Amino acid sequence: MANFNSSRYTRLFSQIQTSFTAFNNTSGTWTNTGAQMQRVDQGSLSITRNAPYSRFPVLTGTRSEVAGIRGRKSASWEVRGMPLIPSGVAGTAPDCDSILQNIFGAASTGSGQNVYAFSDTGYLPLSLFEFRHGSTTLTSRAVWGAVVTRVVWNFNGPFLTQDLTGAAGYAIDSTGFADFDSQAQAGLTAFPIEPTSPTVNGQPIAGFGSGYVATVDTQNLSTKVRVVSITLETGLTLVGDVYGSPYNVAVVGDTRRASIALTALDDDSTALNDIKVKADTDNTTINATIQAGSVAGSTATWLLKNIQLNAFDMKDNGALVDMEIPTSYAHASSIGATDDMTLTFS
Amino acid sequence: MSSYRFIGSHCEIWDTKYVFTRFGQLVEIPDDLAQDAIAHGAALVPAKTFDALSFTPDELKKFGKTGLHAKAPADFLTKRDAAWMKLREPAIPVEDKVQDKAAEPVITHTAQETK
Repeated sequence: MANFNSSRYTRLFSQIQTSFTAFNNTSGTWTNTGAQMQRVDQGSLSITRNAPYSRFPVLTGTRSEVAGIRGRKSASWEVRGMPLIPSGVAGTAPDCDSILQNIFGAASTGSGQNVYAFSDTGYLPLSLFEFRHGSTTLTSRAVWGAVVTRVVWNFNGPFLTQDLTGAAGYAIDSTGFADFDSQAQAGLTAFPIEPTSPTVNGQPIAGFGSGYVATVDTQNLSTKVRVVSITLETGLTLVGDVYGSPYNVAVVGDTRRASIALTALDDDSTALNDIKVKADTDNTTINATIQAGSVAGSTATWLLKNIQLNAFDMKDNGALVDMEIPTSYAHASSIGATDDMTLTFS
Repeated sequence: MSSYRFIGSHCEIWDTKYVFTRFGQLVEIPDDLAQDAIAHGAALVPAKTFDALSFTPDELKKFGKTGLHAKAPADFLTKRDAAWMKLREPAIPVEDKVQDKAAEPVITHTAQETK
């Protein structure tokens, strides 16, 4: 009798690859050093392969078509509402460090804190492993050459979360592993084995709380903001149209764009009026700091620089009126700088 | 098996009994498991290293939950930061064998106890 699969069986691991087209391996066996368990919600992870057939519509004398051949192959993936969990120790990177390194293009720096800042030269592809815990018969999947193309950090919900959207070289599975070509197997001769006794660090933090900071243009909006999110389009783009491979073979960097969107309770305060004036004034830039958490080791702080606030809107919301700043983009401080946004764990 | 102190907020080694929930929690753990956990970010330092920082039992009792550190005195925070710095030292020697541990009773929190 077949064993039913369950979404509860999933354990997700991520790992930075040293080569875009290969899982980290030794003589074909997956090297799990640095593979980190990621805590994600049930049903939040999706991995989608794109391997369409090319139709072969030659005339045959009938209206029925003959079989085609397989075209190029790629994959996409996303994780919705993944808790962003600080490590609990200032200076120790969070469990999702590999994902953040992929997003920013570099490891974090800093003493007693972990500062993620953009790198224009670092391309750190990920492997993602979706193991069916404890089962050798249910189908597990592994993704190589994964990059985050878009991340949205969501505040003021029950948990501090991030939505990840990404592309990948390809995704293989344990059941049909032997039938994939060598480029799809990406250096492996056997499907990876689930790491034993994974370690997870830190506790999830709420998306709101005492001591949380929302400072826009030096104005403290923490008790006015109802909705706030920060979005980063990473600009990471895969190259998937070379002659010698049906798969994506490399990652390159296009324009990145960081933005913030927020909705605040409308009032006539000096703080909010300052924001309104800045949004009304052409070509004005401001900075914003959003800090979630207030305990050392469990605090994450986003700093967005040179934001050009888009024109605000006002909308009735029950008995209140919302002041909405639509998606507004951050920018580098000067030509040659890449300081549009940083994320600091401290 | 060696003695370590946990100096983070929360850490679990899944599929084992090891769940660390208090700053300063003393734990006995197999060396290979400890080293693997440390490699994956677990805030464990050898007990001797931690004990050299002279935390008082009262401090560890009061501020075992890291959420309370915001109310801790500067002296405690200085020692805590020094403990955190130990995590960033290149290699943590495994030197605190159980048979050498101090007279203080071992308090471990296991998954079973947590539940």
